[in-house]
Amino acid sequence: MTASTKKPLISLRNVKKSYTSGEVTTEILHGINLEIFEGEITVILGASGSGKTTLLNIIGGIDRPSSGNCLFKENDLNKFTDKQLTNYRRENIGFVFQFYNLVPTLTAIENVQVSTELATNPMSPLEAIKIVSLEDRKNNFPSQLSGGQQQKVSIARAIAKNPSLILCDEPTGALDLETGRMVLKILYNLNHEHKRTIVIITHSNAVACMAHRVIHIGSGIITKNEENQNILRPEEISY
Amino acid sequence: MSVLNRKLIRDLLASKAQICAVMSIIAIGIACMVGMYQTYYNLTVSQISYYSQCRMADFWVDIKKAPDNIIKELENIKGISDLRQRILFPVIVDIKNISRPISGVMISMPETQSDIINDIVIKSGTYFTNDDEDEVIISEKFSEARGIYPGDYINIIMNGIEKKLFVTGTAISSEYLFMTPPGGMAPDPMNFGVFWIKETFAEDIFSFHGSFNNLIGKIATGSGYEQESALNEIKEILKPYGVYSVTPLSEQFSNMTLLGELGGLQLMAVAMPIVFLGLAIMVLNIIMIRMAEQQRLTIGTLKAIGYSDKNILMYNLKYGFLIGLAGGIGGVLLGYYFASCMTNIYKSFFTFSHLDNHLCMTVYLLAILLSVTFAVLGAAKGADSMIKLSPAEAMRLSPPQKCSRLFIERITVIWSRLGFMWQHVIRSVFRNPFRSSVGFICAAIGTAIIVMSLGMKDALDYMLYFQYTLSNKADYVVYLRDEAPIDIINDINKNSTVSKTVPEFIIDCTLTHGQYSHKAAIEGLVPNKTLVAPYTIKGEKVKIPTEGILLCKRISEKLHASTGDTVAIFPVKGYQNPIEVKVAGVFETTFGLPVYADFNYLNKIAHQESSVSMLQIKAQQTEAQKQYFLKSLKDSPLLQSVSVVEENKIEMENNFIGQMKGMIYSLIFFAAIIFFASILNSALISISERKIEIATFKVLGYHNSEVGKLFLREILLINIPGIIVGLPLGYLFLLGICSSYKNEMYSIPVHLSDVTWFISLIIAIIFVYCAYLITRKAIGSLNWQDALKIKQ
Repeated sequence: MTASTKKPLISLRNVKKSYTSGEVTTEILHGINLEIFEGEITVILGASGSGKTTLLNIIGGIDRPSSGNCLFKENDLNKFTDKQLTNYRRENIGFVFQFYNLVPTLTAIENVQVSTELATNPMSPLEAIKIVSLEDRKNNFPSQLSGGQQQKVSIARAIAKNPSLILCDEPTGALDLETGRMVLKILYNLNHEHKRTIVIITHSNAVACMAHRVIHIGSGIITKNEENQNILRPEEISY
Repeated sequence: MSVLNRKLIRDLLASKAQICAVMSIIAIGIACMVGMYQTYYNLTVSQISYYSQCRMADFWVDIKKAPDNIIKELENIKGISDLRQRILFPVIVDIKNISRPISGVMISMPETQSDIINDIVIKSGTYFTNDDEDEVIISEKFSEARGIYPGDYINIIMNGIEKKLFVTGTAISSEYLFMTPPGGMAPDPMNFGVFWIKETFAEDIFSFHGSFNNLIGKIATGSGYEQESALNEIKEILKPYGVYSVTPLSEQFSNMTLLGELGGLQLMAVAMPIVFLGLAIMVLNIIMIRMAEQQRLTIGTLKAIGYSDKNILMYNLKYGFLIGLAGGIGGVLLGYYFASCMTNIYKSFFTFSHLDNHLCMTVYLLAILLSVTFAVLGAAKGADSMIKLSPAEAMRLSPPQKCSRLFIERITVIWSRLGFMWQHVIRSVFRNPFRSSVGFICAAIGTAIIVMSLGMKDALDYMLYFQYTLSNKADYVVYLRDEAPIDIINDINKNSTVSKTVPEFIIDCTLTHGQYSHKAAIEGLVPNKTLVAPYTIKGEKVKIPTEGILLCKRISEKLHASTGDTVAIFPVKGYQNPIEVKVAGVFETTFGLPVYADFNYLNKIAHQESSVSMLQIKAQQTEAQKQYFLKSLKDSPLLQSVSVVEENKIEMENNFIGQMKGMIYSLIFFAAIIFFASILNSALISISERKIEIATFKVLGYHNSEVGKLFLREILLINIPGIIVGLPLGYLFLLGICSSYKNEMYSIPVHLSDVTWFISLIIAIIFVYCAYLITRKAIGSLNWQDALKIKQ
């Protein structure tokens, strides 16, 4: 199936975003147009400060564009009320953060429960923990887990509620090579075995090798949007 | 339990030191409310039940002597529902081996017990028997203090005649729930008792067959008659028989004293919780704002996952709710204990048939509701900032704090000389204005509570000094049964140990000025010689005018009479024609409602020739000489009662000051809680916010003590101005407390000694320093190497 025949899950049309931080206003995104397709791994590749996290936040409904439209299954997120946007995240989005963002006072399995308690059709927290192979550490607090294990919990939390879209913000950014590879393997399996749609933002070209589609972003604009004809398994990727 | 609730509990446990601080403040506020209100409730319930049990009178009338048959006429007055005539006289108790005369009041009672006004409650033994006429029932506290019990005999000098009476029982009565001896300010059960004897016996002893000198009665409720008009009518009918005084229940001494206490308790039950809960709101606010900042990322993540604002709001409100609930429950338990202690203290002052510590479930529920409401309000602020935070914003670093140059930084002459440390500290204090303000307010209120508590002791000390040292330089004050000629002084002076005897002439009267009137006793003093001299509340001696009378401010206000006005005196004894006199001056004093005049002037207007009603005696005696002197007074048929000034003073000190110590220590403890809670809370937040800053200082080579000094300076910069403001604030608190206990009989003087100001300052500074030491320990235990690894 080609891009033109596929049904986009997310469509961004001329999305712009600016931030005011303290007394300074900075324009981050300068009119982004892109589409995320169901069942694919999409990698958004860009250097630090290129606007990729902002883009991910807009897709995930945790931020709103200053102008332009972000459509989820043809529904414009910009027209959503705060409550609708919360429900959108609750029902459809799973987040994996670079620094895991686990609740330090909850154990691994409880961190997953944080997500399952919200969802209408979640998997059991233990099942999610098993998918990321962390059963033996499920009762450990984040401070008792390594970075990779914490990221596994973060992934388990993201997938546990069976979301339509998993958004990963530099999921390997804080991890060493081997642990990073292990995390990518989990994401790859989620896509290929569990048919999850995944968006990964990264500055690493290597990660892009396992994606169906790679979108290059620089200084707030899309510089290249290409389909990957030669998808590699994580274990085949050389860094 | 939902996972968020588990997080909530763990968050609470993680910040237990700060939570404990807030809960302590809440608990103390609630404990004050529950303690004071429950004590108020205990006293009120006991008062109502006791008054009902004894059928407490609505009014008292003292008459010289009126025939019993007048009662029928009095009963016909509209609005009067019940009357009882009694014979009531002061008596002297003669106890073997005790040389001093002991004062008492003798009251006639029916031969057999019946439902009468101002009945007594038998506590041990029995009511009168039919066996013997010479029977007496004695007041319970006197019985316990002197070890005289049913079955014993007691010698009482009545109407100048000593009688040996058989004690059939001990009793209490609601009209004497607060008893003080003549000239005393505190209960003194060792030296004052109430003695109830059979009516027939009283008639015999006092030659009052078919007559009475004391009338008590009840006013019919809902009769539509004003109490005042009924009393006026009684007064009018009894006028020919010499009405000394008419006292409605509201002016009756023991009732008025109790009402004064109840008023004070009510005020404290409202004021103290407001202060403490107000502080708790502010401190909790700071914690919640900090929590919102600390949990910025977590909140952002939760929102990103799909938690709604409502979920976040509920989470925060639950946080406040749990703190409020725990503080409230702790406060209720502590308050119950306070009430139990305070009720026990009141048991030593007041005599009730039952004074129990009741459970007040409504108050407990209200207190917990109040505590929860205040805590939730405190938490709401944190919730507000969390809700306002968008998830994307939360994921980013918080923007740098808005900074602009402080005003003081523009004064370069000063700023450049402050040095880096002070510059850093000043910026830190002023860039957290809310937190610094709360610290300042806590220090001010903490200091104010110290000043207030020590000031209460000062006020009582001053009352004692005023009453027993400044205005009363006599060793004995002797009250005579009837007016005696001036020669009595010579009889007293015959005792070689007596160095000075000064006479005093007293006219019991009603003062009137236009439509206003007041019952008073004008004391005729010998200027420049008197040992009991009038002083103003400020301790200035009041000059006795040669003509006219001196009114105390409270009477002057009641009569609407000021200096130069003419008032009429209606003496209650003998010479009943009004005498017009000029008000020579008005002065403000602490105790009672005194009216003074010159001894000779007063005698002259009363058409007397140097009559004496009271003697002020100064003596230099060994213990043996004192006992001999007191014995000789006891044997005098002219004696009504004697007040031994030193003994009264000691009794007062033991009674009031002793009991007050517990209250003072408790209040100082409360102040300590405020200081510690405020400083520790603020410092712990500051440390957690500035972990990287502290770690950086350590990397640069600063010692813990040097980093600690930064915090000490910050603590001082906030708390010292707070303490300074707290000193006058404490004075205002004290003014409020003293005025709440003020009544027509006395006002508690607000008199703070220099030492108290100084001690308050030192205590406050010690608290600040101790709180700093704990802060320094926290700095020392900070893992600064870890702090350096915190991701930016």
